[in-house]
Amino acid sequence: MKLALRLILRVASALLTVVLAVALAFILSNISGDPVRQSLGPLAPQSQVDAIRHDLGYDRPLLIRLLSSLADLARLDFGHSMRYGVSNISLIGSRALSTVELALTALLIAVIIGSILGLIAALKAGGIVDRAIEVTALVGLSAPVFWVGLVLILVFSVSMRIFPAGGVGDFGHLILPALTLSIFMSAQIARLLRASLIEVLHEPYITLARAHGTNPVRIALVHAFRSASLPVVTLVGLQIGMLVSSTVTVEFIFSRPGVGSLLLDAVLARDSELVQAIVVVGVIVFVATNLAVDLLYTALDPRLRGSTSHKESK
Amino acid sequence: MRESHVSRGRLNPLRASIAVATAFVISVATVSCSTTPDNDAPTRSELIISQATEPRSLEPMQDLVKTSLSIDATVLEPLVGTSGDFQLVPLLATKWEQTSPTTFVFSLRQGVSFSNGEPMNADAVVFSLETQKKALKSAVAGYFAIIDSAKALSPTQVQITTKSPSSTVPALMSLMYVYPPAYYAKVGGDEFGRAPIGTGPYVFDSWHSGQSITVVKNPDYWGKPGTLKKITWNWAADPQSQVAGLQTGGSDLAIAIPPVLADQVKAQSGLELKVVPSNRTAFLGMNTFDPNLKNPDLRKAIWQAIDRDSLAKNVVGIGGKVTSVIQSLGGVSSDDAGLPFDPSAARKLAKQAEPYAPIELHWPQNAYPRGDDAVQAIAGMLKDAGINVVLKPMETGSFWNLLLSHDAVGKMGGLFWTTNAPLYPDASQLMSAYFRSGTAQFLYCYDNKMDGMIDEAVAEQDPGKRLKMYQELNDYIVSEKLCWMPLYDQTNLYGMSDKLGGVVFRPDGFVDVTHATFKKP
Repeated sequence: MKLALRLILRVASALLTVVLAVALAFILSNISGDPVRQSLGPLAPQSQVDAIRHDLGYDRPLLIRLLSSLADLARLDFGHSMRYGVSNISLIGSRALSTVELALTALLIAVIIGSILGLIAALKAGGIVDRAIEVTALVGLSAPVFWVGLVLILVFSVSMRIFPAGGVGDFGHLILPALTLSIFMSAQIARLLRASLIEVLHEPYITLARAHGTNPVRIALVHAFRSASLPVVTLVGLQIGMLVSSTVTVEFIFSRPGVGSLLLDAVLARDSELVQAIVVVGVIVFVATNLAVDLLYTALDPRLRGSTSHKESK
Repeated sequence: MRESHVSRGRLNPLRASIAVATAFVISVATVSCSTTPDNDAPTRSELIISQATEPRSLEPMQDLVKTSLSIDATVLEPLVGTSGDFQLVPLLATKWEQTSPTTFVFSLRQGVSFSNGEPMNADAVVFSLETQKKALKSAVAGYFAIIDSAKALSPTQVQITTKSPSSTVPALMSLMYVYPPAYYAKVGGDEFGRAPIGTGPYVFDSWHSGQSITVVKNPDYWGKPGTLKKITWNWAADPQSQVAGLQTGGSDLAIAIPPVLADQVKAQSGLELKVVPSNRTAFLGMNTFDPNLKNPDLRKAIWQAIDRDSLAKNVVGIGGKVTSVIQSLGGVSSDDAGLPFDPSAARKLAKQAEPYAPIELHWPQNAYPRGDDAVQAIAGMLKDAGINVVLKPMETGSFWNLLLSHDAVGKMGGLFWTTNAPLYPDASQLMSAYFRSGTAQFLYCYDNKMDGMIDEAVAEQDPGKRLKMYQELNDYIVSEKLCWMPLYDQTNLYGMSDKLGGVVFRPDGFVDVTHATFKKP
């Protein structure tokens, strides 16, 4: 019974998060400027500006518009873009694939590079290679995404002519944006995996394996790596949100038509309905993912599932 | 011994990692090398243009930004054309005649059809004008408000009547793009803006949102056919990426690159930097009804405190030019208007005007290239002359809302810095909109004398006399009223392949690529 209550509370809290995010997105996108004047130009007659404001409902009080916006959302109506004149959800859908493709490729690169560097650093702990990797990871964590992107363009596009400087097309167009997006997470994975591996390599069962004469490579790759990678998996899960939000910058630099660049265009054009729709879709995806993970943990982990019943039995 | 045996027989983790990384890099490089753009390709028939922003719509009345109109105009055509030097020229109308102070008759080109087969005739022109006058989303409705009616006299003749005497109709018609009535009525304005049909030398092909717009050659074009098979525009919001695309052959023409990247383009072999004088003028407006600025001595002090030469040289940089003309078009030229830079005289006048509250200086932040730098420089010059100013940066939409809000007079106090560019080739556009009380959007500087001068100039039918009247009006506002300080004309910079020719760069930022060609390698 208490488990059911917990689930209900968890779902209610997720819904509240969505409502709060909608309210925040609504307020921020509505106080940032007047979209009508910007779309009609400075010399448009005030009567025309007023007519469009009325048509879009901008002449109603902010609170009424917010409530109306929430009601629309409850009906799964995400509104229309003022800039593009089409439904927001179709716009987001048309751009989502590009962003997902970029984020997944970046994730893959981050896991490969981060794992390799973390493994090497742990095996060579304290040595010059370890230090070099540590410094590299520190640079990766500190360097702003836009700077990394521009440097990669200058080196690999302008100077070496290996990759295109931007746009979309074949797989080559994806490499530099994905690499840019992956740098931060690669560095995080490398550092975490190194620390985790070093800790695991001092565990008694590893010492026992060594005493049994097991091959050190096998110890590192099979026994230690598996245990040490658990925090990395958690990190990757937690950082997916950060990865997707960084696509705004990366899509801007590399002129990719994804949801991030759509959001930026919408903000610059004061297309508040589109901004809201993108934020809301993003929030729903993240909240739903978190909720699903929570529920999955509860279902899979007997300790979590039994925490309340354990107390009850006491 | 056993350890060393194991080490030889099994894969070392370090080597394994390096091998995996190397394999990854090689595979990626192999894939990419096969797709790298080739700069030395044979003469091409496809032009790729890179610009910062995607159009809001390809329906001209919904998006008057010149970079958007440059795309529209490959597919759609206005009733009256505009030449490279910003003069009116025949296009879909072959000639026009003012038959009375309020009436113009336009003769249409015969035998012209839209690319869907609909005829371009007087009915299409009347339909288009009525649509653009009335549509809620029409950004030209305000300009067309002076037009009372349009009617077809015959299939090739249209009569346009204005509400009051006006000679500006032909110039206004350079903004009036002609739509195919049946198609437009069927799909509506929004859909028309996503897939337009017109009479132009190119036909709309595709629009991939956020990515590109493509037009292809119209084989049935009525005039000189387009020289390219295909033109594609793509968007690069980041200027550095835009230039990088040009450098790597990803695009052939980069529209409106910032001055800081000009050297990068110039330094690259195979690229050319095009410097085009712009008719976008930066100015400092003064609210003559402001408690401080109603004192003409303080306005005079501001004029004399600002070194416009320095602004043009140090802020605009390449091609920057000082101007004393409110709107640089139609031959109006008053290079000696206004007062010279004289900081000591300014200091003296400002001292005499004391005490006065700090003067607010408003401007739209991040709205124009180097605009923020210009305002900072102006504030510094005013402070050097002892004029106390308070900087008021504003978001663009909020700036224009405040600037245009008024009761009897405008509500924005003090000074305002912004820029203006003409939409069509006639001095009346800005003069009427900014300085005519009763109908003006700006109510910061007007009097009965100006009202009379504006009304007379708008109604004057003789082009020579009109020009002289606007010249006098300009000098009165700039030199006598001292309420509007033209500062400098901006410069438009373009980066392009040195193999590209035939592109017409207009001073208003419109780029005509319909007859662009690639030189043979």
